[in-house]
Amino acid sequence: MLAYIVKRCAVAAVMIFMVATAVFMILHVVPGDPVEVMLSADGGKPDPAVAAELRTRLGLDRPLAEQYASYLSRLARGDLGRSFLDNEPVLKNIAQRLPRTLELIGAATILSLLVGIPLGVLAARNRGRGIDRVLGTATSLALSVPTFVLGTLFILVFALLLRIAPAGGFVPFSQSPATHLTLLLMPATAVAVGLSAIIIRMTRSTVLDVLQQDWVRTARAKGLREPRVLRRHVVRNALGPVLTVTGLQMGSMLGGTVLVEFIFNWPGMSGFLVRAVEHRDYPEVQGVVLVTATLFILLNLVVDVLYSVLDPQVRAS
Amino acid sequence: MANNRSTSDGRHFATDRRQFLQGSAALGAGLLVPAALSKAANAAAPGTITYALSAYPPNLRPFDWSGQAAVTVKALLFRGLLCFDEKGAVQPELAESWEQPDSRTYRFKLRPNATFQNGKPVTAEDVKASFDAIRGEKSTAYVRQAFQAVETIAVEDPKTVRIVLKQPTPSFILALAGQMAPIVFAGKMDNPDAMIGAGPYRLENSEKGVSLTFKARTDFYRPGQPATETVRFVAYPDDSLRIAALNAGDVDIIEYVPWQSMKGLSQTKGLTLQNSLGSFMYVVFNLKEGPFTDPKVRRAVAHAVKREDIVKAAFFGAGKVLDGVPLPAGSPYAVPELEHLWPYDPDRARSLLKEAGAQNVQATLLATSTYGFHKDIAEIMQQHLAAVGMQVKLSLPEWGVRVSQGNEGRYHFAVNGGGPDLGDPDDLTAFFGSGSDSYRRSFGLSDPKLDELLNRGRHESDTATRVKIYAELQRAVADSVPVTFLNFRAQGWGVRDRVKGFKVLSDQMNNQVGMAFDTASVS
Repeated sequence: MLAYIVKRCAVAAVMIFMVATAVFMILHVVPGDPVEVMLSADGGKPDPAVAAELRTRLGLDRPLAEQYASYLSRLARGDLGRSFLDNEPVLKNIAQRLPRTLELIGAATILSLLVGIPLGVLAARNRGRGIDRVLGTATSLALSVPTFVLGTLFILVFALLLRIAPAGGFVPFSQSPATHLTLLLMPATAVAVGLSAIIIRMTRSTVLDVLQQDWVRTARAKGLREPRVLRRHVVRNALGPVLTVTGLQMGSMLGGTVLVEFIFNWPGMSGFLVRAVEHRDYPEVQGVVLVTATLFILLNLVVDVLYSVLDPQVRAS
Repeated sequence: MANNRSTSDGRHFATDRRQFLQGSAALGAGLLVPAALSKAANAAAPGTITYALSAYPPNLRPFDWSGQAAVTVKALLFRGLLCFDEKGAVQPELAESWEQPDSRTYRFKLRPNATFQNGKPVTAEDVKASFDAIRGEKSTAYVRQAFQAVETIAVEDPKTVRIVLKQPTPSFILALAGQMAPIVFAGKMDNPDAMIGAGPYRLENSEKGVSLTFKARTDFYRPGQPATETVRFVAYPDDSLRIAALNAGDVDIIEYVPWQSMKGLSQTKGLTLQNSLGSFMYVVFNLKEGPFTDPKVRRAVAHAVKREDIVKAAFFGAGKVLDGVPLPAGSPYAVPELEHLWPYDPDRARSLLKEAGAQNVQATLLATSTYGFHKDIAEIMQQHLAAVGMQVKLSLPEWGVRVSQGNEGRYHFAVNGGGPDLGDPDDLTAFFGSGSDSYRRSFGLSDPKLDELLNRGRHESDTATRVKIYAELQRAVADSVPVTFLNFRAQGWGVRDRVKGFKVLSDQMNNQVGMAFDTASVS
């Protein structure tokens, strides 16, 4: 197990280095001068002398190789640089934004699991019956409605018609826990709808598969009650693939909450990245991509390890 | 009946327990548990104005350009010697009065009661230090160029400062009245992010990327101002959500009302639309290569575009045709007979193309997909130019790429947005003057006649003579068409009726909306 983890970590480190290099190169190849973009924002009128001075201050007048060496050197020390826009350390900016996105993803995942697993089991246990058909239709609907449509619908209904929630925004938990959670609810639900549908379908499918296994028949034959059979012998064995899918979905949500964060004005990583790309804020884009990629890689690593814990066959192999 | 509830964060919406429970049920059991903890919805405490910004200001450096949202917010922290009134006339701000002994010299007398946010009095030394920082060699100040006109800045006494210009430059006084030349405390100028101003508010707290809250100073130099104790800025980058937040009562004022929403907003009970025409759209040409090196072809473009269509289709009617040169409305420089230099006339366009021997022009029009109205204008122009026989292909890259291509001259002609800078005809230098290549002006533009007129106009102190110079300039550009203008576009603010005394400045100065918080109050 340890050797497996060490090997995976080494592969992860190489991948992170490749991501760091690729994002640096791509950013510098893509047309668009950060200084011009910065100074021309909202009808600003770039003064050539000011632009030249800013380029010098930001180190953009140095040769690309020198900039790359400096970037790698900083990275090795855990320094992601400073934002072109606000001169704050990128790591500090990310540390402020990342928890908000993780909170959103975490809340959406918890909601999805709470809804998805019981409903998936319910659908499997009632295969072909009315409840199964209703859930099948509902999941198709949930998967076919884009998140931005759902988000807009939520705002229309709950903020403008019912007026029971703000239209969007963010208040720190420390300032007002209740308002914070209220504001989290709509975006988290919007994200959770699609993920719940995936989990329902996945759970239904794997539970149906496990229900056909010999050990389930054996468990029933030796007189175990059905809830105990389900809990101990079916659901536990069925959760492996569900967990894998959920983990992968969480990873993709790191970059996939852009629209939800935008629609609900949730100031997480996605909006931060969009702003950084628009303004050609190289250190911020590099930092966000690197941190996101690292998280994605780590998340997959954790899922693989968990999977091997849950499934003895994987552990043995 | 809904009740208005308030929270400590100053946001507000209407709710009651029954509605809340109904909503909870609709969402599904358990999903609204956190919301149940929050009876509190967002109700502004008395004395709080919540303003929805279109972007969170990247920084609040007093001298640097950081976007319009930052300009608005900085008005609460920083003030200059002068300011503009609602009609765009120059008024004293930190200066109590000023005089102009000769055409090159200005003497400013500072208010005796003007203090910075740290309680220190505003002195002539502070003025000198601030202006020296702006015009310094390594300065990144937005008005650095305008301050190159300064020859000397001298402190006559603690409350009097004298500025001598190298040449008479009437527009210089307008640079002082703009928001980008504030006076900061000379004792703390080492860090541009921590400079201290003399504005009416102090920053109480901020949540990066989310909001900034300001509290009124009690020692501001104008009695009775600012009128409201707290101003809270919240960033709502999405246009639709900004409108929803205003309709839901989460905020009191929103900026950049989308053009398609202006009519609906103006008809909504409890809301008022304030708008003004300051910014405009125009077309730049590549004058070094391609079909537009011939002024007749450029004039053909200028006459072929039906600007009314642009106003109607791209701006939902929230704009005004601009087929002349953008000059402050009502100013002596706006000569009526020169108002329409390039009226819509497709026949004239065809005959100009024929005269130029350019009946099969094929060209690429550069715009951007980042801003929908740039793209819409390009599409409308494509149709109009096709009607006079020009085949136009569109190039619509993202904004950063578009700027680069503009700076490098990789286009035939391009759609651009612009706006007034100082509200003086000298602003036209940015469009007609030669200089380093920039996406803002036509590539390769260098016209000695225009440069000479612009230079004379910039340094002419007699208004009547200036009027003649700028009239001559307009006649010159009517034929040479270094750029052609398209339309003014409206900029709108949605304001809840509970807000009183909030008034945006006139068309040319509408970017200085932050000054309106001095008198704004909530009922």
